[in-house]
Amino acid sequence: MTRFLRRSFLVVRVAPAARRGFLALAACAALVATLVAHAGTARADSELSMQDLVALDRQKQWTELLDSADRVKPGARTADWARLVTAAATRVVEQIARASATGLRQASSLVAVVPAAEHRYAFLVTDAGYLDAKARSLAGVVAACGREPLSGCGVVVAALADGVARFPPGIAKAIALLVADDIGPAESVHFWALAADDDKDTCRHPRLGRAVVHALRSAQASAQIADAQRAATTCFAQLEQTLVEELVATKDTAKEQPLYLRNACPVLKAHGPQTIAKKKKCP
Amino acid sequence: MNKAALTTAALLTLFAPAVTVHAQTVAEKKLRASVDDVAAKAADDIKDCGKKFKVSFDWKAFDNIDWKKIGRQKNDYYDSEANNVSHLGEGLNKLCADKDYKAALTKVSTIVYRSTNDESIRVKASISGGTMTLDNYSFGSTRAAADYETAAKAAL
Repeated sequence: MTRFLRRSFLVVRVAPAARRGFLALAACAALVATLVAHAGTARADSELSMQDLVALDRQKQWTELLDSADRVKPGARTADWARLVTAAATRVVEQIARASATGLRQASSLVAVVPAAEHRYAFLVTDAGYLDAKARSLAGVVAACGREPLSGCGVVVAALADGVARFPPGIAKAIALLVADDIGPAESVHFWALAADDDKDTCRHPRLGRAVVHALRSAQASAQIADAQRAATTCFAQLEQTLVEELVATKDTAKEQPLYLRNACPVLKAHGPQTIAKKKKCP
Repeated sequence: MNKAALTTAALLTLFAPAVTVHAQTVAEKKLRASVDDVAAKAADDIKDCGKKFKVSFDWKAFDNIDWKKIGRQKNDYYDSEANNVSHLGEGLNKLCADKDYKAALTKVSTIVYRSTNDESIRVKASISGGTMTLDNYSFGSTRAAADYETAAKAAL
């Protein structure tokens, strides 16, 4: 996610037509970066009690609650502490869903709260109820990005989508397209894999093949490689030609085996005919 | 006029333009002959495989493209198809620098170039019996020898 944020500053140079709207998103991404950076550092702020947290919850000050819940000392945290944090984060993503119905600018300040909270309270991304609410709110943000196509949407939805493994129908594909535009094809492969799981027709989308090949050729992170391999397997009938052509084009003369061969060969060997190219390059 | 005669007249009206469209003009026949000549020349370009191949252009596939639907004029594409086919032999000949591909090509005797408007491919090779068919998306950039070499390697 931090990588997405770093890249988000690069897109400032593009999309002059959408500059005004983009600035809201860029500011949002910058705010997220700042919040995430500060989330891990010790603060000199005063200590909070559980009663303070409960009061914030009653006052529906969800953002403030998320910003300060870690100021309750670990020893003072009751069983309600994680529940209050999870409930506040869930309310924030629900607010995002409502705010994005009127526009991205309205939602942008709330969007910035989410990655910072997840960074601070890692248990959030394992809570099924919270992830469901986030998936639903993403549908709203994606729709808003469709209405106001702005550079920076991909960065925001990628940051919001962290941890979500199932989206409402069509949303994973929409996120994949936004992320591919703003960040890069390889970074979109996780969402393409989910979209293909969701709907096999997605396999025909030319940008899915591009994302899979990019990821197999360049990804270092095991999760991204696994996503690319999963999408390649799910969509093998549609991607076979592309995958095999890339295999043929990949030179295997370097001392170290090219990433594409290392990552694609397990899929290619398990599917389709054993061509000469496969025998030579995927022994 | 009775009902049968009216029906016949209506059918004739409907089908008459279609018959006109499919009739080849002399100019069109000449353009096709020149593409066939390029295909024959492409066959001659395959010199290092130790055998002769027949290269043919699949006119049926070319005619079956729904030109009206894709908003293109068939007559505009004879020259570009000739250009596409002209590099086919050179590309396949490169395969025979590798003994494994050369051996695989001994089973092939006919190479068919087939036009398609399937934009999901560039050049796609498939083998059936002694025939290698090279499907080409005919509305992309002009194909080079390497496109045919890569496609054939992917299929062999």
